[in-house]
Amino acid sequence: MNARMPTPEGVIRNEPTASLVLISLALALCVNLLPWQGVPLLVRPDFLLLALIYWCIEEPHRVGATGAFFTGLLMDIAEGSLMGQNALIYSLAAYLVLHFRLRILSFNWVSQALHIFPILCLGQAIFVLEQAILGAALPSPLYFLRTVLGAAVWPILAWVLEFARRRPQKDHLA
Amino acid sequence: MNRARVKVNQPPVFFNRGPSPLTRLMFYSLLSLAAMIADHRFNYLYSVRQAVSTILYPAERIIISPVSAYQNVVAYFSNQDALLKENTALKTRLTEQAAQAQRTLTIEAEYNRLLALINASDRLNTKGVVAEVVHAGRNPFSRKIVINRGSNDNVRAGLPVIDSTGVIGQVTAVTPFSAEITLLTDKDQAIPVMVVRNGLRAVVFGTGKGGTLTIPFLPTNADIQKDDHLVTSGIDGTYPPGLTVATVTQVDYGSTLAFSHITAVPTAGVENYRYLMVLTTHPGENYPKTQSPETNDKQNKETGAARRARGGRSR
Repeated sequence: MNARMPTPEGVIRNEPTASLVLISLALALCVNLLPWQGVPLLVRPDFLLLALIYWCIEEPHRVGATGAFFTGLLMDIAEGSLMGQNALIYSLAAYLVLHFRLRILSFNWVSQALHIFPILCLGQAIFVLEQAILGAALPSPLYFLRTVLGAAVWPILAWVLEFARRRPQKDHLA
Repeated sequence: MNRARVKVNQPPVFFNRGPSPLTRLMFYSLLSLAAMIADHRFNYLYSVRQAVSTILYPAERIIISPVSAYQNVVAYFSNQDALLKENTALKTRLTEQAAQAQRTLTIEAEYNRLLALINASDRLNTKGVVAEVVHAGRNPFSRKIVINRGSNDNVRAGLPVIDSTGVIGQVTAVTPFSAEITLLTDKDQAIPVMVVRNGLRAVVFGTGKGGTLTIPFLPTNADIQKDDHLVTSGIDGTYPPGLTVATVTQVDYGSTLAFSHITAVPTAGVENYRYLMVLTTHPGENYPKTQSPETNDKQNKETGAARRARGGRSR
């Protein structure tokens, strides 16, 4: 399960290409844009933010605060919230992840989730604060489950993205 | 290759990564705050938002298509018995409403004749565009839905939206192919109403939770009771008069309260629907302008409804 573990036989970890990063972010946005309603909408983890965090950890020279800011703006428009609400959270998350990157990298995916959790919590708190300042009614307490679910989804998401980066060794040698 | 030529007091190019992460964080945080203020207070980013939403719209339709395909398949294989029952129920309702509609026609004609006698304009004339709900809003803090009709179908911000049983809300943002509707139940979404029983006028506000509405600022001695029907009063120039809005469910005259606590529930299926109608005749357009001449120019540029709508959208 360790992210740093030597890769399984017949498989190597490839340098991710820019297109892989973009496609995975686009797919995460699509998952966010699915017609979630009611309770699932309340507790849906922010897949886009999680994918962004993954790439900040793995590809810090490609994805950073700048990418996070613009991704956040896109999410703001798609979600219909004020421009900048998600952008603020995403750039803050990118900063924190880059700051603790080496520490996070030294853990396996399950333990990494425990590092991701406070970052998600902080983002959530800021979002709720923004909404409170704008005068919106607080949603039901179930809303705060999305950070817990986000952390729970982290190992799965990291595994999927890791899997997407793998190529069979024979292709590599050919 | 020319590493040796690099000046001694500069860091090597290899280590030069631009501004520090903290500087970037500060920069983007300030930029986010500025964007929020620009969007909320001054609506500067409206065109950016509109452009990006227009680009996103086809992608959204594609994302949603598997879900709607699944719904269609489920509907296709749904029990014939259930379909027959629904069909009978709909036919019964249609017959019931036909009687009502015929009476309405007579009443409307009579009403227009009476209005013509006193030279008032025709206020019951309403045309509409039928639209399908594409998806519910994605922000759990607000009650909004998106429909598949936009400015190409004459849908404009500020227009009222109804379903078969009553008012569900107001259009608050439009792109060429889609429009966003703020539901009555959104927090602080207001609609002027009248109690059918006695003509008492009030303003109903959404509460943002539990699909309920509230009527603040009615004195404790106001004549309003449980099960009173509320219809639009039409005095705001946005909603045409006489549309069903809500039913009062609870009236609480606490002896220590300055105003009574009144709760109402919308008559329309505000949070469950598939098809609805945007009323494209704006009653406000027929209203005489009452502003002073100097504010008139501004008013011509944006109608009151559009301003209200944008105020609502930016929250």
